[in-house]
Amino acid sequence: MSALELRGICKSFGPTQVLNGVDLEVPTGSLTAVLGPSGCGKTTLLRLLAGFEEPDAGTIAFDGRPVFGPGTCVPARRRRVGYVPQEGALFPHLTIADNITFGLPRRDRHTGPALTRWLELVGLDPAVAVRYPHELSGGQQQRAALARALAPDPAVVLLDEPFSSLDAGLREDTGRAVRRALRATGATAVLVTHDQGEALSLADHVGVMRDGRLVQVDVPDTVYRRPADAGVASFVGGAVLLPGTLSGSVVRCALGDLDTVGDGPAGDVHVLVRPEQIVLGKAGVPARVVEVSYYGHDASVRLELVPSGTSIVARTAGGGTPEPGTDLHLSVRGNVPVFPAR
Amino acid sequence: MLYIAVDMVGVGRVEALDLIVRPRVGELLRNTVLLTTTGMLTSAVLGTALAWVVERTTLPARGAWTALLAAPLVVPAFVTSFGWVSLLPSVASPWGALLVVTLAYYPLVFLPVAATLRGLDPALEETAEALGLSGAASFARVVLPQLRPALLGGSLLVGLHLLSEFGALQLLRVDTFTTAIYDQYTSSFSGPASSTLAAVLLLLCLLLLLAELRLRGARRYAKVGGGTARSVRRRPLGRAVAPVLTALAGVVVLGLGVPLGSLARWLAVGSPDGFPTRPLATAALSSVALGVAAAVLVTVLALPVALLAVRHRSRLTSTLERTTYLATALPGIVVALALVSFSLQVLEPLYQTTALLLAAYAVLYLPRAVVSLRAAVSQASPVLDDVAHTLGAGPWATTWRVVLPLAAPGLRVGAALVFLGVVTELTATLLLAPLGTSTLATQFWAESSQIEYAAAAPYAALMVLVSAPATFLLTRDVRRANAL
Repeated sequence: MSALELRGICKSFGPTQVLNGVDLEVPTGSLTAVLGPSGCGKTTLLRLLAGFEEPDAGTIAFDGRPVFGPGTCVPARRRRVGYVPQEGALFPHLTIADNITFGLPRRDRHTGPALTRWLELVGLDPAVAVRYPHELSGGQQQRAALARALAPDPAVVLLDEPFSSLDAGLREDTGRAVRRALRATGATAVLVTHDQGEALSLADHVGVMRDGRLVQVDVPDTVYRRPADAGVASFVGGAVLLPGTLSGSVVRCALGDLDTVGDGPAGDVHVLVRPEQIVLGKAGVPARVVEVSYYGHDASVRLELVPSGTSIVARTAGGGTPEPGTDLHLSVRGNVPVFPAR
Repeated sequence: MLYIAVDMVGVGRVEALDLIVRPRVGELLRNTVLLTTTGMLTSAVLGTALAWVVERTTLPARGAWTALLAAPLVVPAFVTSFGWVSLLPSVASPWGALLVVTLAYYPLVFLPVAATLRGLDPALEETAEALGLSGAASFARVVLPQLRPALLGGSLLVGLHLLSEFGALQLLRVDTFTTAIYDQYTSSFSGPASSTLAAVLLLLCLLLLLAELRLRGARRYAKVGGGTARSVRRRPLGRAVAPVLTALAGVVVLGLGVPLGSLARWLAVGSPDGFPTRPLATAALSSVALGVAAAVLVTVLALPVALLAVRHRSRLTSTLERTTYLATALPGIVVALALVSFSLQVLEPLYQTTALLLAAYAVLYLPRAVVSLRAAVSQASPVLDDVAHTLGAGPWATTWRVVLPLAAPGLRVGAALVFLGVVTELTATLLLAPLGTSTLATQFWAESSQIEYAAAAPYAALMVLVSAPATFLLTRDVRRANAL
């Protein structure tokens, strides 16, 4: 059963249509990431789920119980949602302990063992319980905010770009801790983010949002390898998109004849090649190195095909990266998805 | 305000015109405008110069100087004026008045300008210097524009205070609208005549307020972009240290030393006969009681205004807020007159009751409380409300458990401001206090206006003592900032 079910959600602010018929199902105990560029409507979606705003149309149900629909609108405080906003938003006048127990009934607010359990669950030292939010690091604040959201046993946990204010190293650690805590409690969660790495690495399902619609909802690997269209392809990771001609399960394009993922009607198509699929070597299509960005663990190499000048980006493991101006040959590893040409 | 207008109508157009257009009003107008503008100017110059020295040079013992230079605020202007007049009777002249009011009111400019200078990103000045501007040019072209809101706001406060100042100017024998209204009212109980003068005074206050709004404009002075401001590089005083210290000491001696010294002298002179303990205690008690009652009342009234203004922005709430802001321009004497005529005409039993006096305090001090509460409430980000709602807290629970605790410092500051204002309030109290009720301020006034300086001094001393805890509360933030 789905813990969360959205049907045909629409929302406008004045003349701007922000959400345009969003359908989404989140299975119980799983984490779904809603991924999209800023302004695509993903934060609005989260606010509608939390009950801070009302949709213009559509239905929302938690565990099969409608919280928004014709004649129903359960207010935020009765929806049993856990909300983790950007930068945590811990209550600055309360200790971490008082923050975490804020949503519990009055008689349960001073239960030591439960508090320790929540702190341990999110990977916080029990000693921080007596501290105030400003005495904690950003990552610790985020973990405390998650513990606060989980403590009243919510039906759904909503996370609004919870890691965007953390620096890179902390972001990964905190993300993993959050994932572990959600798994341990069996909580159903929706994470909103614009960071595809975060979405792909943390979520069970990724929903890609564009112009107020969810254009694809699938497991991370499918979203990456078999994106619904060229737009999703270039938003989820680096993408080289080339025109090609499909016949059967082989597509002919500037990088040669490539095997496709599945097949489709023969004719003109767009081919998606991920930069890490491109092999620099002595075999294949001739190309010249134009620019190299070296990151240490790997490098991004921009090339031009000779003689057409078509621009190609390849990602190679660090070490032995070619100098700009070098002539070499390109081949493609693995199968490639194709999209009907528009 | 409405009652002043109604009274004017009652006077009749022709008569009112006669009352306004007469030589006496012309003279009052000249006195008032002259004193207000020169007083604002000298306070602005002195306040800004002192703030710059304290915040931007390597002045020794800066924290102590900040406290000392802000301290004249604790002493009500009429006590400062009493100190000067009782020591040096010849100060009772227009020039003397300018000196005394400047010394009493420059901290109203000094404090906000110093705070702005402290918060100013030094990178702005460094950039200006990197672009080839000299120190003086960078002050004029970069720092001064940034100081504009603080400077204008502080000067506006000085101007409004001067327009409504009564005690200090009466002692200094300078006639302005406020003193004339009081004389008119007490000598002849001439309602229409005093109402006409009050209407002109009100007009001046509104003009000042509008001028400030106009000058401030809609420009943004916020810092653009992120990054943390570094601490400022201070200008070494070098050989100027001795003259600067002398000048600062001079200001402190003139503004604080003279009033307090002369107060102490009169206390010593008066003590051989012993102090009249009973009247002193009664007056102190009623001052404190009125102060506390007004502080509670005004804070309770201000809270919904501030909450609505910050959390539920709409045309109605911003109008409501602006109305209270307009009320900052209301001189005590105008409010008192309006309430007198209101109670006499509509609710006779209210005349000369504590309730009416408290109502006057509420009108006078609501704006102060709203301003400090508003700032405190907007500290509590709306996302905290959202989080509280998802955790099951309703609107009341959220206000009680989240917003109010966060706004508590502002609440305390607002209450302290009201308490301070009420304890040192003179004009409205003189006009509205129930018969037989005397406060420290009115008793002081009764004695000092009969040139019983020695008898007046203990009341003033007690007044300063009673307001000390509230002042301590108010300056705590400033002192903390300096200690860092």
